[in-house]
Amino acid sequence: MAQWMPLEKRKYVGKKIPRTDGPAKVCGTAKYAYDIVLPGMLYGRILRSPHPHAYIKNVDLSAARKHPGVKAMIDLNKYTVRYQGDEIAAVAATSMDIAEEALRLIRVEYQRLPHVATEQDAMAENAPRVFERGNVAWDNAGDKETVEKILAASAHVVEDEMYTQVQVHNCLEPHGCVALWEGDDKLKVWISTQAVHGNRGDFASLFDIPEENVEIICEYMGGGFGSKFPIGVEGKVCARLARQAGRPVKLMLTRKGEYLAVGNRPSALMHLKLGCDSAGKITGMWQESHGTGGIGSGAGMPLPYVYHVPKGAYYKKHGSVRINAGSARPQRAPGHPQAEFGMDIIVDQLAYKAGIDPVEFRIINDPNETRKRQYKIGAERIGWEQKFNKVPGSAAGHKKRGVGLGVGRWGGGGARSTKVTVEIFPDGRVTATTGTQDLGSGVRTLIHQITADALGISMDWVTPRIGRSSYPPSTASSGSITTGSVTPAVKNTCDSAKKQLYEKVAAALGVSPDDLEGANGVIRARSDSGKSVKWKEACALLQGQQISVTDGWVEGLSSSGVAGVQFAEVEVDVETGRIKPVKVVAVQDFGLCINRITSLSQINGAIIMGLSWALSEDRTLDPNTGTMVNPNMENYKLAGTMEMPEFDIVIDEQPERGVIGLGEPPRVPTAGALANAVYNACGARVTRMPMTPDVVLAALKKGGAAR
Amino acid sequence: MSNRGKQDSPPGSGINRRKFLKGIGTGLVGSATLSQGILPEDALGQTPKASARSSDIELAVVRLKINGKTHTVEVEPRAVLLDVLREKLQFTGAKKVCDLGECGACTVILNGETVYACMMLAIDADGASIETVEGLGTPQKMHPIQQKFVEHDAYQCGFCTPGFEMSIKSLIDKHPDADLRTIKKSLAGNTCRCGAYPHIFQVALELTGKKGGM
Ligand code: FES
Ligand code: FES
Repeated sequence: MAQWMPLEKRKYVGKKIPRTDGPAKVCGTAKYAYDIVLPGMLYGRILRSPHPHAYIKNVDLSAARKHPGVKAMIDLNKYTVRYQGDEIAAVAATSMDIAEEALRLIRVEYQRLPHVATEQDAMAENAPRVFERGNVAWDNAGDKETVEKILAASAHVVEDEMYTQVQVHNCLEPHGCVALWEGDDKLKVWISTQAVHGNRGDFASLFDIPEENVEIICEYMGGGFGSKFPIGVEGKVCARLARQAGRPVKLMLTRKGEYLAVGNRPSALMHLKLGCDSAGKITGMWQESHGTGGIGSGAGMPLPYVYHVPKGAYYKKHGSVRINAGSARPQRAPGHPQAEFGMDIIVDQLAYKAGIDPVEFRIINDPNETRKRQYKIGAERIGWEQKFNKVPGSAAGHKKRGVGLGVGRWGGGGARSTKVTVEIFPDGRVTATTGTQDLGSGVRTLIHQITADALGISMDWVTPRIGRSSYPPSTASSGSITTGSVTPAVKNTCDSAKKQLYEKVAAALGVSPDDLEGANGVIRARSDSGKSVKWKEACALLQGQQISVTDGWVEGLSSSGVAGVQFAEVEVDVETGRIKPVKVVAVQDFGLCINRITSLSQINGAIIMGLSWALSEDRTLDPNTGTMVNPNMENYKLAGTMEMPEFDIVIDEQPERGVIGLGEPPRVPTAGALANAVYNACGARVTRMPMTPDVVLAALKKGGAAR
Repeated sequence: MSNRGKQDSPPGSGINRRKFLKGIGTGLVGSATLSQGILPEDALGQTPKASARSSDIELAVVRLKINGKTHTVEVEPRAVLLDVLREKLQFTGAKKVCDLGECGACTVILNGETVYACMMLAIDADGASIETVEGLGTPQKMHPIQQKFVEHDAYQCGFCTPGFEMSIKSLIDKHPDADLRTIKKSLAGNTCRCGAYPHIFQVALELTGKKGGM
């Protein structure tokens, strides 16, 4: 099986290496899809339904068509719109302002239909149906009666209801693209995407043209978080408008469009019961829950999460509920943060009830050896011994501090289909090329580091090239598999290219190719260190003929399955209900760490996304109108500079396992850790997110810290 | 929590002005338009009439001194500075994210003060001197702010980065010895969805010489 280079050959791998594309990003020369400006380019805009549910009786484009500057229009021919923001028509015009004007001239006749905007309304008897097949899909497991008996016989039992709200992705670069037709059947698209190669197929089949005729370009993209896999209505419409107008079209969504129509993390309402024996071993778990992904599905969560519940002692009844709202899409560890929030709070309650320290209680019930170790590291780093309030809420004063923890797991792995081309040029330059995309994870930089180390040369020789569908196929960036797919393929292809070069060098030095090794820009014979050539001289032996090798993913350099824990310290003002996150400690395993600083950025970013979700983000629908009341960044509250706690990140490295993706795992434990810390601080269980001051005050009223 | 910041920007009269002028363009002048916003998704399903046709709008000539060089450009009076910078002059460093003065991605420095370029009409910037991220440095010769961003990996996707850089530039020009609290406050009008804040703070702290301030 393939292996990573030995430690002494890792000049860049495993180090803190600044991003290859950093200078382009900080100087404004990095071109995102939104930044593309082409001669004669038009601007596209989409008309969206203002109503959550309606028949469309007529769409009249005639006035808009006559509007000066309008060059193309599309009626999407919908009969029914099922959520506010559902696409109805689109225009392309010579400026954004004119396109917006044109939308206002489109006359749409709606026949409003009754809608459902909450899970409760959707589940009611005789509720208006989102689709014909009904609003709820049930998913059952285990036997309720058996589990209730087990719980009744348990030493300790707790019961509570946890709620997590809908979270919108909010990538800063909106969804969209610039489409340029070159002739009738050749299409070039600059698009903000997580799936360069997938998008090529999407466009090719949409227009029934060969895949080779479609070129996708995504050199830079401003965030995806799971929402940017398909080309979407916006991609389809943009290319159709461009074709109709015979001119390139740029169509990027408005921020409001982002909030309404391109994905979200489903909600979850989890009614849970959990029991344990007198030694703290979990005996059984009872779950009745539901969640909604709008008109979409995928509102499930993987419970029981992480902790061991004996076989046959788990009962669940879960409803995936459809409402008249924009569809869910995958979002950074789909389902896991919801499950974590429910599970880690109920586990915490049980620990307190059983009189066992919450850290100890987790060690008792978590079968994962890595996490068992991580609990101790995390407790040490947060100062659990000193900071844990044995009696929650007992600290003096109205600003009370406390600590809590949460857990996470994730898969990872790699796509065998990944291909890479490595070229070595006679002047010593090297390129490593694959059609992956860098969402901000830093994969471009990882390719750069690995290529240099695999060839034993300086990174200065190497140019990594990504973000085009004309490059060798790479997988979509989903499920944290990009690193596990791309980096093994890069390493393997470098080895193949190196072999070809070493044959030339061996002949010149009069040794066998197997005898050669490269390091620090020099290739030398192991048997006779006097026999060596510098990298540049070695490449000159190619005599004008570059080496070009395309190879793929190999086993042995990556794996899957990671563990992480997070500890939080918070300060709760019991007078105002305000939660101030003070510190978050994350202990995260992800196998071999290729880049120590981009990894830190990923972990910090994941924690912040979790913290922001826990404390303030909320997609709020008005049940009466079925419309979103906060589709803007002023009222949809993202955590900002003022909410930032101190961070302490521990990379719990297991290099022998090879690389494992990191984008999703650290997104999981944060919300539960914060909620548990809030309880420890003020003695009130906050079980609803976002944990805004009003929610905290309501919880305090029910029971909490004595003032 | 985006709207708190921009302590350095002039008070936000821009929004009403911009909405008002956009309203004229569409013939939708009136309190309903002003209070309900101007995005196309807000269209109420009725049919407004275009009272002033776009082709009838007289273009204005504005002179913008961008990073030291004067650009003369013809714009519609309703054109927003950010769109003119990005789409007409191809200064695409400043990004469009919210288009409503809520995120800071479009921050540029105008006559020494940070402004949200999405909240200002280009005609109001006539004659102004504007600094954008393109004027800070080049990949070959980066500004110290840019070097620190690269060194500390103060980004992931990089979409918010130019806006943060300009805010930091203004901050250190005015408060060269700002502490962490001041830094957090003065960057509160910039949003980063990738969550690069801890590294951005490091950048600013090193530039203000408060290395150990974390
Ligand atoms: S785009 Fe101007 S503040 Fe967001
Ligand atoms: S780096 Fe992606 S939004 Fe800040």
